[in-house]
Amino acid sequence: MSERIIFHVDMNAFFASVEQQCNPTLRGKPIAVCGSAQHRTVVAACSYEAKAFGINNGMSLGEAKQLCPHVILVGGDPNKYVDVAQHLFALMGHFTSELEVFSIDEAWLDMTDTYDAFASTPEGVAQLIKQRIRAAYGLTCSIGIAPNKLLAKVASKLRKPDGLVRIRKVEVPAFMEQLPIESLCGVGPKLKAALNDFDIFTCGELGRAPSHFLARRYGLVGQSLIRMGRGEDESPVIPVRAEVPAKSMSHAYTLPYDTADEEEVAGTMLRLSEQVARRLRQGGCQGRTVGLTIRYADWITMTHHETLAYPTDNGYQVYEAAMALYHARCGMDWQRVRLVGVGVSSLIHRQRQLSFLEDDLQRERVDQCLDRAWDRFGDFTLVRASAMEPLVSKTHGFLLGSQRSVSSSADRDETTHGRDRYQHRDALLTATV
Amino acid sequence: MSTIPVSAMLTSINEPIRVGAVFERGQIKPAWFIWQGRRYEHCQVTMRWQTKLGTASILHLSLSDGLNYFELTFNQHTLAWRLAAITGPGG
Repeated sequence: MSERIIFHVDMNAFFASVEQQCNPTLRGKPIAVCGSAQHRTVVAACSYEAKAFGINNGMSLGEAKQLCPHVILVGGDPNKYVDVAQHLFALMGHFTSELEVFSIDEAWLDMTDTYDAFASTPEGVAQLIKQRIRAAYGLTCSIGIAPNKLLAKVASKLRKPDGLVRIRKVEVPAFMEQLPIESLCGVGPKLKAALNDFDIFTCGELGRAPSHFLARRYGLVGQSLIRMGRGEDESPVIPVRAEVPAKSMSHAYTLPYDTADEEEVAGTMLRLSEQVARRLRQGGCQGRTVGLTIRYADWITMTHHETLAYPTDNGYQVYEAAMALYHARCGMDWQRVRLVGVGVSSLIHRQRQLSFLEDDLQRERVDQCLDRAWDRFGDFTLVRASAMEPLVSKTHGFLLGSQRSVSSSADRDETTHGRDRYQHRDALLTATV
Repeated sequence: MSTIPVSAMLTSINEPIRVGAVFERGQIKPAWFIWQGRRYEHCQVTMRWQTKLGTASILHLSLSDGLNYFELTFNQHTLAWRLAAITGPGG
C-alpha cells in the first residue's frame, strides 16, 4: 500500500489574526482576544506579538497585563470566528472531500487520492492552500504533512507561523527518536509526568517501552501509547458526513463575579438549561441524564449527574433536574459559585410520545412557541425573565429583547425554600403563553 | 469585584445609516456611508462574515480607512444598513 498523504492545517493565532485582519490598526501589535468587558475572562487567543511577551492562551487578563502592560485587549466575537472558519473549511474542501474538522481552527485533510490533481507534490498543494487562504482572508496557517493524523499534527506544530513541514514514512523512526512525548496530541501534563516517572521522556523511549509494563498501568491505552511513540496511527480522516452523533450537549458559564446568591445561580442554570434544550430540539434529540457542574470561588469543581425517568428536550425539566442536584449535592450557602455548567447526555433520537398530562402538554406547547419565536427573530430573543442576563430578579413573565412583555401576574413565593421556591417560574410560563 | 476593562477598542453604535453600495463580482461593497451627517468614503473592506438573526441573514462588514475601523451590518431581509461599531485612530 502506498504511503498515505495526510495534511494537518492549523490556523495561526486564529482569533487574534482575524481581529488583526479586520482592523488594520491592530496589525503588528500585541493583542489578546478575550471575553466581554464586563465579565471575568481569560485570554482566548493572542497575537504572535503578544506571545513574544510570554502571554499565552488561558492566562488571566491580569497576568497578561503584567507581562505586557500595553497589550491591547479585544473583545472576541465567536460568531465571526465560526463563520470565517466555515468558509476556510469550505475552501479546504475544494481540495478533498476527506476533511475532518478537529476544532474551530484545525482540520485534517486526506490528500492521498487527490493531491496530484492540483500539484506534482503534496508540498505544492499545501502551498496552494496557504496561498488561497491568504488571498481570501489575509490569514496564515501552518501545514503538517505526514503518513498519518498523529504525525501530521506534530508536523504542523514544528514551524509557526506560516510553516510547512513534511515527515515522510522513511523518516519517522529517526524523527520520533528525540521527539519529546508532550509533543504528541493526547499527552498532557499529567500523563507526561506519569511517564517521566518511568524514565520515559522521548517518543523513542515510549515506543520501546515493554508493552506489558504500560498495559499493566494503562490497559489498552498503554498499547496505544506505545504505537504513538513509534509514530503509528491508522485512524482514518473522518469527514463531517461520517461523524458519529453527539453523545452529550452542555453549556457552561463563568459568572461575572463569585456569588452565593442562590437565585442568581438558579437564573444562570435556567438559561443554560434552555440553551442545551434548544440544541437538543434542533438536533432532534432527547436526553435522559442531566449533569450539573459547579465551580466554587476556590476553583474546587464538582460535577453531579441525575438520570431521569424518561428522556427530555424541555429546558425547564433539565433545569429542574439540575436544580435538584444543586440542592442535594452543592447547596452550601456559604460557598460562592464561580462557574455553572449544565449538560444532557444519554442522548437518543427524539421520540414523540403522546402524553395526557396537562403539564407535559403545556410544556410542549411552550417549547413550540419558543422555537417558533427563536426561529423567526433569533435565538433567545424571548426568554424567561428569571433567566435574563444579568438576572432580573424582581421581574416575572417573559422578556422580549430588552423590553418587558406580557404578564407579571405570578407572585413570588417568598416564604418557601428549596425547589418550591422556584415553582413560580413554571407558573409564569403557563400564565404568559 | 475587580475586572480589567477591555481596552477601548470597539464602541458599540448600532444606528441606522445611509449607504451607497456597489455590487461587484457577486459581492456587495459599500462605496460610502453617512453617519451623523458626515460622509465616509474610500474605506477598504477588510473582512466579511454572516450571522443569522432568526430568519434574517445579517452580513457584517469590517471597513477601514487606515485610521478608523467601522463595522457595518446589512440585514438581507429588511435591506437595512446599520453602523454596528467603530474604533478611533490608533485603536
